[in-house]
Amino acid sequence: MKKIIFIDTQNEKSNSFHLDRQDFYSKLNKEYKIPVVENIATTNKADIVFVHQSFYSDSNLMISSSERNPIVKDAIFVFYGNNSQEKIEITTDEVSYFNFYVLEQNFKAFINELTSNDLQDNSWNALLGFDHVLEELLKAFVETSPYETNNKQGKILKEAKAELLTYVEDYLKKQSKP
Amino acid sequence: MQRVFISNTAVQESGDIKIDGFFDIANLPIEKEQKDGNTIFVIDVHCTFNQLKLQEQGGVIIYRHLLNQFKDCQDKLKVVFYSPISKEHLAALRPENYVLTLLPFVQCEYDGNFAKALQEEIDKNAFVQFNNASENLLSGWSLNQKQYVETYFLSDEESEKPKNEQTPVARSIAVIDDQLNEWTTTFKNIFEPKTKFRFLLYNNSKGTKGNFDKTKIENLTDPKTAYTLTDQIKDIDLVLSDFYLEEPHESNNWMSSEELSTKSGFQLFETIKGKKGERGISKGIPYVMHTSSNKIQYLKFLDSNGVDNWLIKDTRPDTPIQQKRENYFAFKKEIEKYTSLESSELYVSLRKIWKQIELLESPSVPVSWWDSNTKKPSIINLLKNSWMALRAYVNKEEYFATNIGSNDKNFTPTAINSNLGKILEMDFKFGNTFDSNYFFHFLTQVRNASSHYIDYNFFGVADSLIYFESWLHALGNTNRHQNTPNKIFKTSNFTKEFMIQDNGGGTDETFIYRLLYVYLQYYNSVYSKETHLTKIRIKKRVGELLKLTDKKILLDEILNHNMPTDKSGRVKDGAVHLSEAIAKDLKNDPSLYFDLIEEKDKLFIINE
Repeated sequence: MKKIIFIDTQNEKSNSFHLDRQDFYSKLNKEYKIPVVENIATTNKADIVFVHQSFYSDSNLMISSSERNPIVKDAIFVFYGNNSQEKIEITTDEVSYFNFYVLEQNFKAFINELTSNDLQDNSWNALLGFDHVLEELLKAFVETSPYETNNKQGKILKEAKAELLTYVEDYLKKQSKP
Repeated sequence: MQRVFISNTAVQESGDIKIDGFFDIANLPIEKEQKDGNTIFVIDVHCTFNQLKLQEQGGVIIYRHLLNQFKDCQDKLKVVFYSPISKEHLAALRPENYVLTLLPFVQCEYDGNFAKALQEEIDKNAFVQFNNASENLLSGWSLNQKQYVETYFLSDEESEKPKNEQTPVARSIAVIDDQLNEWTTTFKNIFEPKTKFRFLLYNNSKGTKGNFDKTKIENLTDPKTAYTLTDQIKDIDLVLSDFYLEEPHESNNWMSSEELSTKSGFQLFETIKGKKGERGISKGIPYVMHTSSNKIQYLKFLDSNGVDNWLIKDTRPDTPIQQKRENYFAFKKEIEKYTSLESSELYVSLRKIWKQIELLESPSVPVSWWDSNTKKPSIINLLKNSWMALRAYVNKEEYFATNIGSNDKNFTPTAINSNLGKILEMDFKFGNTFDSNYFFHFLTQVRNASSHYIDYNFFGVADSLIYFESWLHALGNTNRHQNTPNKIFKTSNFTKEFMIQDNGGGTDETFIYRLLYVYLQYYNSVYSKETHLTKIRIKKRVGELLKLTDKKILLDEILNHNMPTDKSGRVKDGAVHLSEAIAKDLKNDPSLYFDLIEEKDKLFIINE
């Protein structure tokens, strides 16, 4: 299971997150045990970091360069907010560090899709570009020699290869669709 | 040739590198004798170790660590990849591994023909060279949907033409590096096709080791012809140069400015850009350092010496994907400043202007109308100072200016024009006819517009270029007779024209859109014909300035202005009402659509 954190800025006076997002964050906490924090330095190592755009107004909290924050060195970054990506890019070119960008209004659909499988590895894997079927198909070729001839083993590999290529072609076709 | 298979199985009886789950990628077991160029590493694309997934193409990760191990002898690294999937599909699945499509590769068929296919790949001897930095950049390009670095500039004028008639201008780039062979493949892929490169290898194996010498530079693009460095650089639009050409690459030592100034990259920089007392090859040429060093003090040192920017070679074998993407994007954005973006025109102008200043300064230029022992140094100083201001403006602190609410983008251009206009204050003796010269009026009135608070907000850098070019046109027009006007400042026999600058001729009634009117009057005069480039710029600026105007004020100024009179109250000779000189059938209705029409090489404001 991937470790996920959300980062958002809090209202100084009320010491709480923005009203619009409070329900959503509480659901994340209750149902998925996903923490929402204000200060990245207090979090443990995370695999996936969701960063709200408001976080960016405070330059001290810049986290885009993973080098500066060994805590999240290998994490996947998802940037989310209610401004379009183009608008954000005008104010900061740091946004290109992020692997994904999600508009806040689309966020529930996005997270629903990700969490449809109770945040099992597979749904996160899809997010990370990992394909379960492709991995299975490739397994036939591990610990085999490329010199395998047209013998029994070679025939098995040829069949496995045909299946693999068909799958890869379909997979790439699906990916290229807008 | 010895073959070493790198995979999760033992392919040969001995000598292979068998990868297991605990494989330490940082310590690849490569023997010294395997770095002699006689070993071929045959790598399974889908190697797995440390819980790496098969589809993560661990073979390419291993290749990156091989590049790291061979960093001092990349020409000795020879690899062939293999996979059941084609290399094109592998690169489509993992765009960051685009390098697979360029390196020797065998797609396994499992039909007994692998040995033959492998031998054929080896026989091609197409072992393309990379290093970690060039492979990272290639990877970043592929991750950015293969968006090329653009090197052709399409001017506004050309972009208005139908597509098949457009002629973009190619910008040429000189790449200077001691490891050039490790970069050419990457550059040829990531720059747009037909980019005009001049690949210049700094061959540090020639001559005395450790000593910078410009004759060590060889032209790989055209190796048969012997060129001097001056020949190689003088017509180039951008120099992209390594910093360590003779020395070992970045170490952990910190160098002082004195030490830095002895480094080969800096010496090459000074050879090209010149230094105090030495003109150099091209002072105006944009110069970007492309180096593995990322020490900010070094950048500051070179910055203050006139280097235009600094791009980092990311030499890490394990750079995360998003950082490759970002580094490529930064590379593309920076290069395009000098090649395809609007700013590239500015750099071309800076170079041309500097060349003209150098020419004027040269003692070989005949004595001209403005030349005298006292005036020449002052004029050259004004030109050089204005050029520096223009250069500083190009590298301006744009965001800081915005932060503090400074209108720098207008202020600096007006300061440049106002200072160039000081030339007018020098005491030239041109005779009585000079005052009525239209070109003189143009120079005076642009200067005046830049010096009055009411107009200056409309100035931009394009206005500085127009004014600079106009002055260089005037100063470059030589005449052996000192203190007499040359043909530029002679009053011609054409119908006398009078340039209107103030509403009623009084200094207290300045036009708000004076710059627009001055440009249009000059454009429409017979005096503008000789300066073709300036006319193109003026036409573009007139269009931009017109868009900025408040149409109610514009109409009021044009339709209701008072004609200038002499002391006796008579309208001055040659004065034409603005509504006729720069407009056609202008209706007094600000809600209409305002545009420009061109008739017989003249421009007029219309509304309809």
